[in-house]
Amino acid sequence: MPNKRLFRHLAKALLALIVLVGLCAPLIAPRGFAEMSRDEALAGPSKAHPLGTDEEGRDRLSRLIYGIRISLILAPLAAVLATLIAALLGSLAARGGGLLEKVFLVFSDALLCIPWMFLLISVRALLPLNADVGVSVSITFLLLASLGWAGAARVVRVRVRSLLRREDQLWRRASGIGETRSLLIHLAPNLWPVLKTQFWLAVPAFILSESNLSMIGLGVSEPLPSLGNLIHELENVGAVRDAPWLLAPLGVLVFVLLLVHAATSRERTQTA
Amino acid sequence: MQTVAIHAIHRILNMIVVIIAVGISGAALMRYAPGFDADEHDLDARLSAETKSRFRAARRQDANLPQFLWKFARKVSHGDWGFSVTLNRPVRELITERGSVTAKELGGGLFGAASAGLALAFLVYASGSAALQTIASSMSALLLCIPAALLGYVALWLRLPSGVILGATLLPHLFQYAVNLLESMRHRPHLLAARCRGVNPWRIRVAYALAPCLPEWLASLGACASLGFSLAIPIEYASGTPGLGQLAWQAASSRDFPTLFVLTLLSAAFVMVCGTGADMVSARNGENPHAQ
Repeated sequence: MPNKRLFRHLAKALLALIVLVGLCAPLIAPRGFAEMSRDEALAGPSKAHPLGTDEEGRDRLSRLIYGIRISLILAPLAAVLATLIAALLGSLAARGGGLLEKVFLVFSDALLCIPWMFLLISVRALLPLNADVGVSVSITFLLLASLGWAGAARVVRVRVRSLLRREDQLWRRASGIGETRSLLIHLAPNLWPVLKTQFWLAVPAFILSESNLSMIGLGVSEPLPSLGNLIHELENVGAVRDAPWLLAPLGVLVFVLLLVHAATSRERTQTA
Repeated sequence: MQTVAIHAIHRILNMIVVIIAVGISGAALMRYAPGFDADEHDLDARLSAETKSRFRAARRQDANLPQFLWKFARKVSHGDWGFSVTLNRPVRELITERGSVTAKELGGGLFGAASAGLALAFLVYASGSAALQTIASSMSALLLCIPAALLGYVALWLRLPSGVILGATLLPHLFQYAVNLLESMRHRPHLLAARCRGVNPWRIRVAYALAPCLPEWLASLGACASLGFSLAIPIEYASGTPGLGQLAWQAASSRDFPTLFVLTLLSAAFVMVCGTGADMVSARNGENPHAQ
C-alpha cells in the first residue's frame, strides 16, 4: 500500500514537472514554435535541433515544448470548466426536481447518446473553420468543456439528491438555516470528492479528444503546435524507421496519460 | 416479468423523447451556430461563381428551422432523407452504402474485442497471478493512451482491416470491465459456499464466477457500440475506409447540413437502442435471483 501511495505521489510530481516545462515554454524552448529556417528543412537531430526539424524547418523540440503547454494546460482548464458546469446543472436539477429535473435528464441523455467524437466534429464544424489560430484553440477547448459535462452532471445530481435526503440536512432545515447557506457551506464540501473524481476522469479524455480532433484537422490549427497536431506527422508511419525521433510527441502523450492514470488510480478505483 | 415490461415501455418512451430532443436541438444548433453561413466552397478558387451560388442556395433552403424540420419529417415519411450537395448523392444512398461497411467493421471489432477481452480477463482471474495482471493492465492502459487516428494510420501502413484496429481500441475498455466483473464475483457467498463444499476449482471459476457475469457482460457490449462508432470516425478517416465514420468527417468538414442531421439522428437512435437493449438485459438479470 505505501508503495502505491509513493507511486501516485511520484506520478503527480512528474506531471507537475511536465506542466511546469509547458508553462515555462518561452524560457526553455530553444526557438519560437513558428520560427522557420527553410535551409534546415527535415534535418535530423543535431546539437542545434535535438529532435530535428519539420518540413518547414521549424525546430521540433521547441514545438513539442509549446505543444505541451497548449495540450496540458488547456485540457485541465477545459476539464475544470466542464466540472463546474456539471456541478451547477447537476445541483440545480437535484434541488429543483420535477420538470426541471426531467428536462435536465432528457438533455443530458441527448448529449450522452450522440457518440462523443461525432458530437465534437459536428459542433466543431458548425463554428468557423478558417479562424485565427488563437480562436481555433479556444474553440477546441471550449467545445470540450461545453459538451463534456453531461456524464459528470448526472453523477453530481445523484450525489446532491442523496445529500439532500440525509438527516443532517433535515436537521439544518429544521434549525432554520437558509438554503443558500446550506448548499454552499454544508453541501459543497461533501460534493468536493465527486467533483475531484469527475475532473480527473475528464482530463485524459480531453487530452485524447484534442489529439484525435487535431489529427483529423478539426482541432488546434497550424502553426500553433499541440500534441495532437504534432502526432499528425506520423501520418506516414513507415517514416519512423528512418526517423525514430518523430515518435517523441507520441511518447510524451502516452507518458503523460499513463502518469494521469497512475496519479488518479485511487479516484478511478472509487468510481469503479 | 411485469416490472421488466413496465421498465421496457418506460425506456422506449424515453428513447423516443430523447431522439426528438436530439433532432430539434441538433437542427437548432446547426442553424444558429456562428459558422452556419460560412462555407469553405467560397474560399475554393477552383469553383465557378455559379457553383458557389448553387451551394449558397442549397444552404438557404435549410435556414428556416421549423420549415426545415417539417419538410424533413414529411420527406422521411416518403423515404427521402435529403440530398448531400457536397457528395452530390442522396443521403439515404450514402448511408446505406457506407452503413454496411461500418456495421461489418463494428461487428467484427466488437466481437473480436469482446472475445479477447473476456478470455484475457478470465485468464487473469483464473491464474490469480499478480504478474500477469500487471502485464495485461499495463498493455490495456497503453492501448487506451494511443489516439485512435494514429492506430488508423497503422492500419493503413500494415494493410490491416480497420475492424482489427477498432477491436484493438475497444479491447482495453472491455478487458477492464470484465476484470472488474470477475473480481466482484470473487467474494460472493455462493462462491464461498461452493468452495466449502469442495467443488472442483475450475468448475467454480467457470460455472460459479464466469457464467453469472455473462448477462451483464453482454449488456456492456451495448454501451460499447456507441464508443465503437465514436472511435470509427478517426480510424476510418486515417485508414481511408469508406464507412459512416469517414462520411461523418466529410459531412462535418464540408458543413453538409442534411447529411450531418441524418447521421446525428441515426447515431442517437442506434445508441439509444443499444442502451435500451443493454438496460433490459440488466433488468431481466436483476429479476433472476440465480444470476446474482
